[in-house]
Amino acid sequence: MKQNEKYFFLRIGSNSEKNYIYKTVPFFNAVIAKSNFFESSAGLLSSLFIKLNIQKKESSYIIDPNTYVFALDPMNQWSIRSWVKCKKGDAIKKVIENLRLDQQEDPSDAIREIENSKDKDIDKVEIFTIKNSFRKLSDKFFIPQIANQVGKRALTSDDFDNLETIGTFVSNVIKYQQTALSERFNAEKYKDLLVGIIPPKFILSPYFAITDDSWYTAMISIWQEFNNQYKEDDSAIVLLTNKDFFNANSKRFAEDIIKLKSTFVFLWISNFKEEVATEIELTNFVNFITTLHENNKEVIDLYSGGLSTLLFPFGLAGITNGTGYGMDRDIEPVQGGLPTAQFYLPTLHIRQQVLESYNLIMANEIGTTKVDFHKNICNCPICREGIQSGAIDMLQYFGELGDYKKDKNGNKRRFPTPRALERCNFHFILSRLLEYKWAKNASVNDINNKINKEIHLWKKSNKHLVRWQKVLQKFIPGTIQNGKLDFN
Amino acid sequence: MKSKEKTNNKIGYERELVIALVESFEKENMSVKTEVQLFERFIDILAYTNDKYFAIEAKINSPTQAFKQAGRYKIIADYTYVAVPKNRTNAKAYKLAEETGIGLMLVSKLDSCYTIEVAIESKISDIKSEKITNYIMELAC
Repeated sequence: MKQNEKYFFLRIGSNSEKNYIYKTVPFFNAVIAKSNFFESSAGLLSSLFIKLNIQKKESSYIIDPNTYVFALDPMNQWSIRSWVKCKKGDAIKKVIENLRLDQQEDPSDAIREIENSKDKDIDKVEIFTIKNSFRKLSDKFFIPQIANQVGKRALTSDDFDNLETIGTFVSNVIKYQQTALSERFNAEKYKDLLVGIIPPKFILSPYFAITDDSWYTAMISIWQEFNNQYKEDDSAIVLLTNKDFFNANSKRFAEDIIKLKSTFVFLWISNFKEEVATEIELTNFVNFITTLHENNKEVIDLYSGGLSTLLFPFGLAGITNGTGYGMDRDIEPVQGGLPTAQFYLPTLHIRQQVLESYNLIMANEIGTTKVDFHKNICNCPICREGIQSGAIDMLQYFGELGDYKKDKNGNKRRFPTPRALERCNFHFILSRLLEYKWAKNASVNDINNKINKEIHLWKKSNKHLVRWQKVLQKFIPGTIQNGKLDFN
Repeated sequence: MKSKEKTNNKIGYERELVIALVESFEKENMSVKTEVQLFERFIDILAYTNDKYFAIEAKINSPTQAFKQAGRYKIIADYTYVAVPKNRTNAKAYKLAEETGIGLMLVSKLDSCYTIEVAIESKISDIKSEKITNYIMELAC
């Protein structure tokens, strides 16, 4: 683990994404996967991690402990519980077992009839139970008194009000990350793989979303305990908060984190959209990064937007992107549905639906020829292959529509073909890797010049670029403000 | 009684606008398709002859949004219009039509009869792509 190294992490969120990973191995530093994904796809992820470790000759994976989900309302369907079918006669017993209900607790709230049931659903109902991966994790992470509450209610900061509970929790989360691979491959028959069965690149602290003072206090205790228990160079605390709380407390966060022993800080500001953030929000964000950097702390962005790659010379240590996520992420995600094809505009640093991206290109009168597209929009291998006459090609190449399917409202519509989605995703990852490759060695002046060029290129759509430049100029050495701003 | 008449002559839903417009195009012997998928968007009405395509965005409210959406249709239509109830139009709609080259249609209703007038003619699209038009029409058929 070196200070001042610049990292690019690829987030893997589903089995299909491993294709992108294998094809881009030389460019990124590690893949990052959530612990619940590791629990549900242990075979796939273990073999991926081992292969990467061997191929890259160093640890190339990170397991995100993802502990915050246990403090979300479990009744939300995007949370740790889900509706599954089961035999009517077994329903009560299964709910009681899964949720670990006491005799006084009523299981009927978690049982419902199947809507639009089919022949195969005769004598079946749906039960709202904790997903296996989260049940396994809660038993591994928490003391029994807390684990038995998981799924019934959201954990609160009061659950972590004593050092003994925190100590066990932190110890379990550290151990989980350290041994996730080795526990699955400890048999003699795997001895040839030993070189790849190594601990992760970083060990992350447990974390919950800091949205109020009580969680703030609890997380400080958790971070301190993490530092007491794990003192290696690869220790990293995770800061998850929301945009508003961060803006109101960015100075306090910086002051408290500077006092911690971990060098690395993995940062996730929920619902922070860099392209629409205000000047004050962006200033707080950049100031936080530069302040920590000046105090020998390295910030790694867990869900990186367009601005993030431009922040390397300002002190950001790493970015994280994945194909399945946008360029920001909310703690409480929007309910999915079938995927849409999104095209990333590398010189405008935003990702949106293909037709929207095309319209932006047209409005700015750029990329109309092949040469101009590859010069001013994108020159990644996917675009070089698909864009043969100009921007017009991107509609069918990246937006190709397939058969009719039902959307989440039950309406029939055509959705992008798998190959169109794959092109969009590959283009996104490759574009971000190219940006990273350039930016990690860039100076603040290089960044300023780049944004300048992009502002002139995107004359009609450059408001966010102008805002970014205005903010970054405050942090360029030699300017009046020179990064010594008061936090707002 | 008077207020009831008023209500009857009010166009309250986009669907009503669309039906009135479709009938009007069909009377002109044009082929008409509704809810035509243009990648991630849907065109309310696509009316066409052998060689000319007209895309219409029907809206009861928010002209700004309507003109923004209609602007996307220029990729496959020769002429693009925003259609609004006559009594809901305003100076902003006229201004947007002048600025964008997108035409403005006004629809009025009297005793179940609809009248459609073109307040501002659409300018011919300078970004229409035959290739994309053919692709979208192929998918729509």
